[in-house]
Amino acid sequence: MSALRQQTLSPAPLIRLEQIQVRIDERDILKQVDFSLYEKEIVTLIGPNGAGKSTLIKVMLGIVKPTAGKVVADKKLKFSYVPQKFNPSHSLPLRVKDLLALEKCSSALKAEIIRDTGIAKLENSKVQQLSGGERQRVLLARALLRQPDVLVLDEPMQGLDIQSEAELYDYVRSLPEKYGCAVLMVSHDLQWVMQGTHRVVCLNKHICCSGLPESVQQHPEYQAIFGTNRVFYQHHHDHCAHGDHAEPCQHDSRPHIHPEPEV
Amino acid sequence: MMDWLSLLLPAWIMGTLLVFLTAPLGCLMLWRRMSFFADTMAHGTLLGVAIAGALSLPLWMGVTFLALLLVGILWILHDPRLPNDALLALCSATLLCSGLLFIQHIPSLRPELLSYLFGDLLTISWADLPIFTLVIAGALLVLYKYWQAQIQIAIDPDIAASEGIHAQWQRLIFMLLLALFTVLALRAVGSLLMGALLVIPALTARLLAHSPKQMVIWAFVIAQIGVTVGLWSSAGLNTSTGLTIVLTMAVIFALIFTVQKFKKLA
Repeated sequence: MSALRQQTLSPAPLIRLEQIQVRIDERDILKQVDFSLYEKEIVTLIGPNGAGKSTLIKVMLGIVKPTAGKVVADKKLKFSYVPQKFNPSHSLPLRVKDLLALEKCSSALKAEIIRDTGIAKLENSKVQQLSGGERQRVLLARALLRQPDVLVLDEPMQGLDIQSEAELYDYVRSLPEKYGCAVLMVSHDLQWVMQGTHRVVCLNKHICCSGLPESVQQHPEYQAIFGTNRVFYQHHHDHCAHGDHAEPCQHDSRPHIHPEPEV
Repeated sequence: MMDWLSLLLPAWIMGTLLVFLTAPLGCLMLWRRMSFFADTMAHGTLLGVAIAGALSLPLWMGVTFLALLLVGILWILHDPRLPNDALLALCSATLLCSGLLFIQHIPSLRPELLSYLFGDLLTISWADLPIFTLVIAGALLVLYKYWQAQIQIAIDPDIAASEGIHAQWQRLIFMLLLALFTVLALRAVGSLLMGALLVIPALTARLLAHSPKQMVIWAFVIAQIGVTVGLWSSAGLNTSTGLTIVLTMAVIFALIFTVQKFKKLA
């Protein structure tokens, strides 16, 4: 069904990986991976540790050259990347506003993104001294300022508290509609996979299975990795009193992330 | 007095011009953790001088050749098992030793050895300045063109690569700019001191700056003070110019560092 929908919506994928193989030190990191990403699509990459999720992302972004296979994409396609690790050298004096100033965009858009990611108060902070959650917000904001066609997020939930995490998921879900980008995310959060994603790709050096969240869950290879007992948490919006869901707030109805509480 | 001026003025202008290049280059060198590389290249110039002397070529040709050779050697030596800084130490020592040995066996160069090691800004004449200015302006233009890419690599190489910045190419450009600097700085501060000219103002600037741009400006100001005070006081004190300039910069660093530590304690 999803394949059909994609065909009617966007006939050609934004980017296509064909028979990708990555070998490092005689070890297969990825083998025979075929993968396509379509316009305005939200795809989540799941898989056990060491499955090659980050490597696959890096192949797509052109950071890692595949040993074999090819990456087909328009040269003008614009990527933004929020990496798992971000540790700039302390010898580089860099405030959040200096980092954001590197991307040229209209000041209205910039103000909107800064507000929506909840980093207005961080503009004068040093990048090296941000907390884990603050760093993720700043990196996400920076990535969006580029106005990308494809936004790639590698485990963006590190260091976020439960409330911000739910807000970030809602925010990411709104991005394809708002800014017209496709989103590819690595996530361990099965709840997000179930609710937020159009398509799930389960990776373990090769692609085990891919498709709608519900169908992936039934796949034998998926069950071999994640177990049959670990079913997705089915989220029901009528009982969200336990704070794992972003309540619509008074000041702004659009999805956005609130700043971290001040200590 | 006029004699003094005619001797010192070209030297001073040359030092001042050189700082336009050392300030941004020194900052980049710190950010990209390449100060070992700069030192190695600086030490290598000595062998370049020796080769040029042996073949009776102009000095700059020998030094340029050696800088390019070093870039090539490091390219080939790249091996994940061997840490980069240690490889640079290896190259640095090898180049310095062979340069010294070589020069000792070329009679025409032997008397000049000290000036190759520590430089002699006072040998600069008015006739040297136009070509010097031109080369520095060219280097600055290249630096300006690639500045943002270089900063992005310094911030995060992976993000930079994902945005289409070619890391190897940018690295090569940076190495070539450094090579050019060593050619220019050899006569001014010599093989052993040119690393200091890059690193000390940048380090001092790091103490004062909150953004990359501020750091370059501070490095520029501090290096200008170092060059000016060092040069004129070396004339008054009758000391070696290169040594005096480097020591002046070191004193500025020490002063600012100490003041900051005391402020923190207070």
